[in-house]
Amino acid sequence: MSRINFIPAYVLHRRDYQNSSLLVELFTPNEGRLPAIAKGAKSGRSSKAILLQPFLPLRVSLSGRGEIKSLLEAEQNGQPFKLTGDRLYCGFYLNELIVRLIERGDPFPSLFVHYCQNLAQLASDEPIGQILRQFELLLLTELGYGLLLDHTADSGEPIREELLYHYLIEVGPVVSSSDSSGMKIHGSTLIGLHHGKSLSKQSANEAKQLMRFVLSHYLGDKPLKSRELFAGPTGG
Amino acid sequence: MPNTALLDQLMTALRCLPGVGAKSAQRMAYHLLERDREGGRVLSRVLVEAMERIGHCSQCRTLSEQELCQLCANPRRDQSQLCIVENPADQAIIEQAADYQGGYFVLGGHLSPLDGIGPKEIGLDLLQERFSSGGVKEVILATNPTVEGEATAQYIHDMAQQFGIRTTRIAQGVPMGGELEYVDGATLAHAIRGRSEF
Repeated sequence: MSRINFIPAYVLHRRDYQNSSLLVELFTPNEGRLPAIAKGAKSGRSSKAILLQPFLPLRVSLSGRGEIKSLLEAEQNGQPFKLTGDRLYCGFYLNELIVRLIERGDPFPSLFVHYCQNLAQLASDEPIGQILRQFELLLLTELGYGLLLDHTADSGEPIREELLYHYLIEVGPVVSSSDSSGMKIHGSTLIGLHHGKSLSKQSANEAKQLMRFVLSHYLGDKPLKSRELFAGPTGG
Repeated sequence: MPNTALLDQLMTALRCLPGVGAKSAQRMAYHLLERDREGGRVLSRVLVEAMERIGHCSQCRTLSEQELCQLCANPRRDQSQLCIVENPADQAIIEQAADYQGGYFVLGGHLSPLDGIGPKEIGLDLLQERFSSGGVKEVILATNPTVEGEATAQYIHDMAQQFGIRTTRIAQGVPMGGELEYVDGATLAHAIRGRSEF
């Protein structure tokens, strides 16, 4: 790539670079996640620093052959998603998941579309849990780690609502297991997740635990920092 | 001339400064050794002393040589008003520019999960203690108007609410002497929304 013009993009993260520049981590449909330097973005005359912020739909022009591109132009491509409180922390959570799990340069066009939709949902008043679970499931599927939710991994039988299963990482739900590393989960939760339905309080909690259990396997030892924001100060 | 081991060490050490790469570090090292030994000695002395003696104020977390910084120790400052800023530079500019007589709390950053910075890393546990010990009546949120700065402000607001403390946010809008035509849309939208009684 020597130059690409006006592709849709979101800023996942930004940090200061030298005196007046910014180093931004971008998420784009076809170039995937990529780092770019916006020269002089923070100097007085440039309005780039205002635009280069998370949760603002952008169109950017990039150039460069190396891993780190130069950000030539950026323009707003729609209204910013107004996220506040827990919903803002959720936005950080999505960004952290993308940065931690997606390799730079791999294209994820459908995840990108989903990400835009999820931000819009977060900016509305749809229940948070459901939005996050759907994003987590799709992200895992896109990475090739999709979860088995509608039938068991050992016998291949359809999941039944009233049964209790063991969920084994990289295997799926099994009826019973001698392997104690799995997680116990109700059939009703698995089915609910599979259909993207709104879940009862208990099921929603179980679904959250399942995704945490699976994600921690791929994330390794370093826990997700954005979860700390949900924990306090009100303990929500 | 091949570099001596010590010279190499010096160049590597200089690279810890922001914006200093291999080339600049080399230039600095040669300059100090060839042209300005005295300056180098002063620098090394002051640097050691500063690293050893400058810590954080136990009350507001700004950089300070004493346990309590000058501002916190000053009995004429109204400590029931607390201005929250991201770093000591922000504190300094408010001190210079604004007629503000309250206290400060310096976070030393903003909430940024992707940089591994959560509530504890910016001293919010200390701030919570300060809130719970009473005495704070108003919290002025002067974090930067970025997404992360807003998240930080929101988090502290939620914390202050638990203790029934009033929170205010610094105003955002058109710069003094500026022209509306050249103000970016986001700032202008903010200015219109946050308009005040004339």
